[in-house]
Amino acid sequence: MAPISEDDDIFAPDHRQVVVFDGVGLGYEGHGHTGHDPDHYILKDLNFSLEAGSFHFLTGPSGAGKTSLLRMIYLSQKPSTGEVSLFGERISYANRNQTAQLRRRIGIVFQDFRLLDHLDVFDNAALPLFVRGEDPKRFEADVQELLNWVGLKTRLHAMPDVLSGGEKQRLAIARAVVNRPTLILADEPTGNIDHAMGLRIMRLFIELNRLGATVLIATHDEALIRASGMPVLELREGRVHKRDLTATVRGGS
Amino acid sequence: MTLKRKDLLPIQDTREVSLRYVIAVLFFLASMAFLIVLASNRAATGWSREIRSEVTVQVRPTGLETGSVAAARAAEVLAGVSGVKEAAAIEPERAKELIKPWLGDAVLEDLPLPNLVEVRLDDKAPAKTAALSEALAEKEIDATIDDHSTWLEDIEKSALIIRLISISIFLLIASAAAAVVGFATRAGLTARANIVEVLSLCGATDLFIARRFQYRFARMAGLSGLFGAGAAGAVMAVIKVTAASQSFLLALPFSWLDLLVLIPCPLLAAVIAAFTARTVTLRMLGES
Repeated sequence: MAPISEDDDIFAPDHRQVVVFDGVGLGYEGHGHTGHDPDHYILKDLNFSLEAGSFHFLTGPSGAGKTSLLRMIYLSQKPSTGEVSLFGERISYANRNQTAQLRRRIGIVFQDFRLLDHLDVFDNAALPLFVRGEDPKRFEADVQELLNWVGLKTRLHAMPDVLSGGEKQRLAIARAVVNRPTLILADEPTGNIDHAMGLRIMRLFIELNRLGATVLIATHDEALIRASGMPVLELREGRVHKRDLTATVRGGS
Repeated sequence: MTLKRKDLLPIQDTREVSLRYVIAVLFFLASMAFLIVLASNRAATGWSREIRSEVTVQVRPTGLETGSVAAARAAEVLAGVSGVKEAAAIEPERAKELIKPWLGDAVLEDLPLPNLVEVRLDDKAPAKTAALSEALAEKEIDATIDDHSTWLEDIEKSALIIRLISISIFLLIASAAAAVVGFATRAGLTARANIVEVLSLCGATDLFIARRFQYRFARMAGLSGLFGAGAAGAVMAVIKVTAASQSFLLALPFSWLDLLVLIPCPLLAAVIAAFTARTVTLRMLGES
């Protein structure tokens, strides 16, 4: 895994709090209500922050709102109430161009991978770099090494539809970390891979975290959480609860 | 290693095949309209040049002079005016021959024919009508000069109308092509919403995404425009080389040089498509 070196200044030192949720609530329309009624919010009055360089798991029962919480962080979902700040900026004021710039600092592993079926493994993995207009000649070796690391060395030119579930997941992870993001969000990143590969992937996240990236991983995998020993944020009944003292949680419990 | 899909969008689907066809047809029609503008322009210029260089003078004999003598005298006077290349009286026999196809033999004998002088003016410095009538008045010749200005106005007006109609057709077709591309861009964006979303989540700006669609549609429209313009050029070539179309060529005198104006046609198609795709994409993404 060569793209990141010890000397890289991954985040600005004045943004110690990478993610801040301040009184955030989220409601969806439907089931006879408009989405504006706080009693029907799926997430209620979330107050927590993720410090730069921290590592957290996000757990909770199915439907607790883990994916919705992640979506609010990567600017795909606007909160119904409250304010989300990213890298020291209130994202409700971000225009579309600023949104794009903020997203370039976030690596996202989606539960459903979201690979582009018409691009091969290499192009999918390198997508965030293409999007930033970087020269393929400069990143080719780095991307190949990363794909090698996640075990896709022999699949560089395979199309996603011929990959197994585990291979797709590893490709999705490679794409998420390829541009050395400041913040890594992963939604069930080890859901489709065996325990050994799961641990290997976790080591990648831990390594990136050690190099300065802030990591938040939504997962059901209690074995993985125990194995890594990292702090846990738990979503229950629309509120966030801390399971470890290292998490900075200012309320909601 | 390079990105194989430069525009990051999937290879064309079946919908785009019909789009290519529509754009090619539109640009075929636009090219034909353009060729017709050029040809009708050339025809009108030719006719008006012809008419402008000719003046007809009708002479009325005075005193004992016969009509033909008066006409011959007028022709002599007019030939001496500077700016006149040639002046010749139309002999009564020739005048009858000219009228015969229209009126037949029977009435010709009794028909009083005007005494006409045909004057060809110098192309470079044509004599003014006033100078001609002055010269005739000096020699006390009673005559009326017809400089064909009524016809000239008519032809110029018709040529202008043809030009305006053809340009309007051209603009209409170009705007229809833009509308088709706009529609296809909207459809493409909707069909590929998942791709657009992934690009956007990977940090792509709206401009970056708009450029993908711009590149895609510009290339497609450019190729279709090439086919359309090529077909129009081929049609023109067939008309020009087929002997049976001589009368057509008289009305629309095509020139091989006209084919040159078709060269920018594919480029124009590409520019229209690029601009439309970019505008529509930016607007749609802005609304999302």
